[in-house]
Amino acid sequence: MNLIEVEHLVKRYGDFTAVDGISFTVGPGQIFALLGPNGAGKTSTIRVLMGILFPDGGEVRLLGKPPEQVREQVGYLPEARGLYRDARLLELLAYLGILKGLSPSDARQRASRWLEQLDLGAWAERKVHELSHGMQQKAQLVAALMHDPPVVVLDEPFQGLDPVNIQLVKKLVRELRAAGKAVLLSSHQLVHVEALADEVALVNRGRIVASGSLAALQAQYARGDIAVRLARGASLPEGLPVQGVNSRNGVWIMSPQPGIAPREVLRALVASGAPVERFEVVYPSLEEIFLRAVEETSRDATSAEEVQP
Amino acid sequence: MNLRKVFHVAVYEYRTNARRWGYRLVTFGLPLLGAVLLLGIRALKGHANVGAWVAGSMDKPVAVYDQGNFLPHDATLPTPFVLVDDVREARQAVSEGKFLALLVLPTDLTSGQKVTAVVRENNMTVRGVIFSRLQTLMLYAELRKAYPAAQALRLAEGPDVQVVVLGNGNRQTTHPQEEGSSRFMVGYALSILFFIALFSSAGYLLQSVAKEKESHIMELLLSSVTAMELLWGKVIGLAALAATQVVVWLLSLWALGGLALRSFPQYDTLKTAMTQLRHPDPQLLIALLVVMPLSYLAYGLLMAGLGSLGSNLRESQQFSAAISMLAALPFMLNFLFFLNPNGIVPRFLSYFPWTAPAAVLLRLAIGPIPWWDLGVVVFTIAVGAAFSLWAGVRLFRVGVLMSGKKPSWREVWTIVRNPA
Repeated sequence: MNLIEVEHLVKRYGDFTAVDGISFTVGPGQIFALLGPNGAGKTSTIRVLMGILFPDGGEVRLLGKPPEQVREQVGYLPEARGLYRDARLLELLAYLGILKGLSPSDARQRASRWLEQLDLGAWAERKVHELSHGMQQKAQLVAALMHDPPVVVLDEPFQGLDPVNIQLVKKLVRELRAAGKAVLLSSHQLVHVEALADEVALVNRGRIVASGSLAALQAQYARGDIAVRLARGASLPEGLPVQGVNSRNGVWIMSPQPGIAPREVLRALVASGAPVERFEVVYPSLEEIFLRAVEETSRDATSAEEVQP
Repeated sequence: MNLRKVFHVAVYEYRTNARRWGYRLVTFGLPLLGAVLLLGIRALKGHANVGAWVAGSMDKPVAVYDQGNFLPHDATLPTPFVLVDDVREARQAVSEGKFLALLVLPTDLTSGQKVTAVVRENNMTVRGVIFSRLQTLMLYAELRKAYPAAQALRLAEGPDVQVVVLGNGNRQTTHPQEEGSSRFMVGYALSILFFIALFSSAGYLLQSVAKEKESHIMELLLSSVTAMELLWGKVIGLAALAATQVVVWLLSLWALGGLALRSFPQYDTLKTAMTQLRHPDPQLLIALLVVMPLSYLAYGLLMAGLGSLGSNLRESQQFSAAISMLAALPFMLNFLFFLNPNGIVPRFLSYFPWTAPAAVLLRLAIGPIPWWDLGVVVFTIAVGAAFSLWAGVRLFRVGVLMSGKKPSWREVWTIVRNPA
């Protein structure tokens, strides 16, 4: 059973359509990433999922129910985040836990345990404004996870984090997947999501322009480019069945000629006696895939407009 | 609506706001200040000048230099007059603060010559004391020609009056003379206290919403509770905070009033004030227990709604400033209430929901108002509370998620009419 189901979701603000027919599902033990630039419609999609906004079209279900019926079973880290500055950390987290359905004593115990786990135990009785930015970010993660929800929604979880805390968040997300939670990530920093997400949806102007597993998308958008590194001082032999050769930081990037497979290029290299240290097929990054998907979608839209009577 | 969540939001709001220094200072500081003052006065009870210390210069004697022998030359002039023989010495005593004033009576009062009053402080209160007492003095002088001193004094001071108020049919109520001033004292004191409680809690409501937007915790809260649960939790929590404040003040007033009465049993006004505090006027009771809670809703819900439109506390306060100005308007126009508490302006202000709490309390402090009048006040303020509920909830639902440019008043009205 899918824990998150979004079907043909539409959200408008006046005349502006922020989300235009988005659909996706997330199952247990799956990390799904909504990726796209700022203003693509990710946060609006998430706010509808959280029951904060109401959809203008389509349907959204969490654990098979409308979002407003399952608020307590969802953990949420919003993009626009903050805490009461004058509140004491443990007391505030306990309050947020109570609002998620925990009993006061359970909320306090869990908050305390999570703070210890994230090295914030010594700060439990301090006021929020005394904490560093990174500490506050971790505290907000505690607020999202302390009630052990089956569905976790993290909107721009890496925003404003230092490299150490980015690794911490990635580790936590992997642990959530291992624990069978459905995790929905949203980010405009595609590089952080590449290594995490099982499935991604690339969103632009309220629409999904490409979706699937990272491997499938890379296969779909691969140009077949090859990266070759030779021993220091060696030059690329002539007569290889390639085109568009470029050199970058000692690595040769090239495309096989039409009808030539990468393995035939490798065979030709080895046959020429070139000292090959590295040979690999280049797969596009999520960023490249996104840019190409946006480009293709725009081109399709323009063509469709041109054939309109 | 999930009542459990409303309860927990209310508890959190109550607890965090009750810890504010400002709240504690006002709630416990006022009674403490009253206690210190009362105990101080009590400690000075046996001291000869205690009256002057408490009431300032008003209790000082007034010297009279009688050039035309208009006054009887005995020792029983009405308080606070004393006859003097030497004008220069009396002027010196006035400038040293020993006399409140020196009155120089002309050689022939009956021909229209003026009385000269020599004072050190030329303010309304000093003039009021002199002018009102001078009439008593003149009357005493005339009465003394026909009556012995004690009788003339009693007549000049005027007999006690009991006031009989006619009601419907044969009903009538009798009220002692000193009830007027004690009613005003009790009514005015309670009005001020309730008004402070009402506005501080409505202000806290505004601040609470504005701070949640400013600190960006709002969206996190809205993933756990609905906007309605959040709003009602705040409204209830801060109403409880105001109620706590009022209870502390009433208990303190009761205790300090009792102590004051035991310490100074000779003051009849104090006695009737305590009686009125123990058995409050039913109209005042209705105003405090019905009008004030409805006013809290009328102000609080609208302030929370408007407060949610700003992206920080400063912007939110700009929206609410108009409402606060309305609330204080009756105090600014209080002279109209004293001229005629049932005049057209006091009536209009007590029928308009956002000026009603101050207006009706002022009117009731001055005197009872017709029951139908109070009924209209309760009705209009209930309508105001219903409007604030309708508009405040709509504004809050939209405002909590708004960011960026502050909306104009036209846009605010558009949101109220069409919150989707």
